This record gives sequence, structure tokens and C-alpha cells, in this order.
Amino acid sequence: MDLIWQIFLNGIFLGGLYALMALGLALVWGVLNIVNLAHGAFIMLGAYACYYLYTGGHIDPFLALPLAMLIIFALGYLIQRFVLNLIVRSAMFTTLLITFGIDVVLTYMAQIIFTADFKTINPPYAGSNFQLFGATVPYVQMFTFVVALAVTVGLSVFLRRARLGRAIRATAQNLTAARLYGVNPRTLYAITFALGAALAGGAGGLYGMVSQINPYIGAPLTAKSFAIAIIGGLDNPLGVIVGGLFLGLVESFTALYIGPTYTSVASFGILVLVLIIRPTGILGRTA
Amino acid sequence: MSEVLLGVDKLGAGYGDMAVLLDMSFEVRQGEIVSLVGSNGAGKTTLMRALSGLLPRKGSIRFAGSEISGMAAERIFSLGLVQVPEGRQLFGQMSVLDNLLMGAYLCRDKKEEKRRLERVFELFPILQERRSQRAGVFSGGEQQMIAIARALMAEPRLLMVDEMSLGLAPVIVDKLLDALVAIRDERGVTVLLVEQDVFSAFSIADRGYVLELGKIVREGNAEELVEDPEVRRAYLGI
Repeated sequence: MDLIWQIFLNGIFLGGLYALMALGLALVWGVLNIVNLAHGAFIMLGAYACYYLYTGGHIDPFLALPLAMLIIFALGYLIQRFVLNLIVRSAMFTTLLITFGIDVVLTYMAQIIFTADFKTINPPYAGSNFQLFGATVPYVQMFTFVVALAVTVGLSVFLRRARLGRAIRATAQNLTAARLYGVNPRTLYAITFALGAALAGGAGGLYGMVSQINPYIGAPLTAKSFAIAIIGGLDNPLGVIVGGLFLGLVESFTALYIGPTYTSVASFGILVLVLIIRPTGILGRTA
Repeated sequence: MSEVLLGVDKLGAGYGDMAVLLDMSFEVRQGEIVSLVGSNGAGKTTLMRALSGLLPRKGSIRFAGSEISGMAAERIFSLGLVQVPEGRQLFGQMSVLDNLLMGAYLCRDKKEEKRRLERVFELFPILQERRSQRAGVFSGGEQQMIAIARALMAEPRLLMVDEMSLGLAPVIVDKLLDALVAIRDERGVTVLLVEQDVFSAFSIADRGYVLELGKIVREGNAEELVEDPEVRRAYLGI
């Protein structure tokens, strides 16, 4: 029983991080209609940004997180403004190809700059934990979960309440009408894409605290984010929380009962099931 | 006579090599309600798009003293030329309030935004009651009302309404027409109504134009145009 409780908690903590990873991908997909294959590369870069701010700048990794997000935001803004805006609203194949290209470039630049060595973000409190009804909870894991959830809810509130958030939703729903009322799509797309990148960067920083970083972690995380975004649905940030938690739990229990090698089989198997049974996602609206 | 708010001279526009509007000239004066009628394919929507700056165009368009034929859509909009697009184009998944606030997107002043909202709610009290409901769940007439209210949130000088009556019951159209008259009378907004439904369009208009295959073929007082045998034959089938 204790074991199941422990695995459940592990799954929830992992799921919170997954939700944040997928959030940016879902946002960009929903608004720009681009499935950003470089999303994982932004996660990877965010992890390195956090790592170097901590090891080089001696900033606590959780405090370094906003800074890392800001750096990746700037990078995302530039990429959208000067590369992706050239092909915005073009065929899916074109956008896939370009973002794949960006992914390759970022990954190999990271390999040259950061080397392929594994790195981890190890704050002094990395080993400490506490007991929760018989389960062991590492502080880092819990903070990661809390921060991931807070950022996800924060984005949801921003999209609902803020003027810019409203414009982002409006553009996603009806570009023609949004333009009629003075929304400049180019700027808005750049901000949205940068926001998606920043969210990925933040997720990367957290990922670096609970796992290992190398230049190649991006691609599998893109795939996972893609699965979560589809499972959770694109039009509601709270959907990715459900999708993320769900996937986290599934992976944890699969690792225990079937074997760690089968976690990806389980998560992508569920993706296929969702696509067959409920193509709009768990919380997605049907038209 | 009051001054000319919108002056269109020899306007030409189209899609690629296909010209839809040829040498169109007309004007709308400050405080008028002008109706521009034409059947399907006459070029009404193309005209709206050309005036709003969404299409490449030739000739001259003067609005509120500026030449706008070379301006980008966003600039034209901020001068106060605002359209209620055909098919309403609401943000269907967003609340009424969010839809209205999008109309005031370029207004960054919270107080001013609130003032505009209050004025719009005065005109359409039902929208205040139902402001948190999704725009997509409203009836066609109510959606048209939301679309007009959203355009008013931009504080237009000229409100261009495209195919307002499309798909609506005559009794609903009458209510919306009354609302347009109120908007002109109480708020001094000039209205350009672009319509297929000749009878309702001319019922509230001061002056009218008849558009056929990209050209103005008739113009004059609304009452005279309704009586015009040629117009009656072509549009009313009498």
C-alpha cells in the first residue's frame, strides 16, 4: 500500500512538470497553428541557462528560473520575428520542416558550446526530503511541482484577464476579426511564440533539477509534450494539467508494474487511444 | 450640407488579376446614414475590404481629411473607420464582455474602456445582463447586436455595417435598424450600411447608392430610390 502511495506521489510530481513542458507547445499550436518541433530544444536550453546561472552565477536555481525564462523568451521572440514570421499561416509541412531545422541547429550548437557531458543542477538541499503519510517526498520534487503548477495556472489567468492574453485568445479563434480591431498579428505571434519558449525554458530549469541534462534531451521531450497537448486538448491551459498528471501517473505505474522500458509504450499508446476515442482531448470542447 | 466624411473617387480593387470594383465614386457625409445596395457578386464585400485596407486598391479614398488608400488596415481602423463584418465574425468561445473589450483593444486607458463599456450597455442593456455568457450561444440577431456593440467599443466615426440582415427574421432586422438610427442620433456616429436587402436598407437611410457589377449605377435620396422603377424591377421584383 505504501509503495502504491509513493508511486502515486511520484507520478503526480512528474505530471506537474510534464504539464508545464506541454503548456508552451499547446499555446503556440493553438494560436499560431504551428507544432513546434524545436520545443524540446527550448526546454534543453532553459535547463542549461538555469545550470549556468546556478554554477556560474551562484543564483539559487529556483530564483534563477525567471531569469532563464527571460533569456529563452528573448530567443523565442527573435526566432519568431525573423524566421517563423516568414512562413506563418503556411502549410503544416513547411512549419514542421522549419521548426525541425531550428531544433537541429539549436541541439548541435548546444553540443558545441556545452559539450555532450551529462550535467545536473544540484542545489545544497537536493538530498533533503520529508515524510508524507509514509511516502518520501524530496523537497526539490515538491517545489518543482508547485512552481510548475503555479506557472500553468498563472498563464491561464493571464489569458483570461489580461488585455494581451485576451488578444492572444481572440487571434487564435478568429484572426480576421482580431485584425479588424487593431491586433497586429506579427507582434502578437512573436509574443505568443516567445511566451511558449519561455514556458519551455522554465520547464527545462525544473527538469534539470530532477533529472540529467545533455544536448539531446529535447526531441523525446517534444514528443512527450505533443502527446500531453493532444491528451489535454489545445484550447484550455488547464487541459494540459490534466494531460500532464495523467501521463505522469501512467508512466510511474507502468514503470513499477510492467517495467521502466515500457513507459513510452504506455504514454504513446494512450495518445493513440485518446485520438481514437476523444480526438478533441480530455477537456477539449467539441464543436 | 455637412462636410464629407468619406470620399471615394475612382476606386478600383480586386483579387490578383481579377478586378471586382471599377472606377467607383461615392461619398458619405458627417452624420448621414447611407445605404449601398447590390445583389450577390456586385462587389459589396470587396468594397468593405478595400475601404478597410485589407485589399490592394487604386484610386483615392479620403477619410476624415486624410488620404487612406495607401494606409495599412490598422492605421485606417485607428482613424475611426470601423466595420461590422459580414457573418459577424465574433469570438464565439469568448464571453460577450471579452468580445466587447476586443473592440476597444487599441484603447489602453482602463477608465476610458470602462466609460465606453457603460455607453454600449446603455444602448444594449441585454448585453450587460448576459455579459459573461459565451458569444457563440446567442441567437443570430443577438450576435449581430454583439458585433455592432463590439464595433462601437472602438469609438468609430464611421460605422460600416456589412450584410446586417443576412439570415435574420425581418422583425429582428427592424430592431437592429432602429439601433443603428439610435447610434447615429444619440452618438453622432455616421453609418454606411452595405446591404442586399434593398427595402430594409433604404428604410432608414438618408441617401443611397445602387451597386451593380462593381459600378455605381444609381444614386439619390433613399425615398426616391425605393420608388425608382428600375430599382424596383431589379431588386424588389415588382
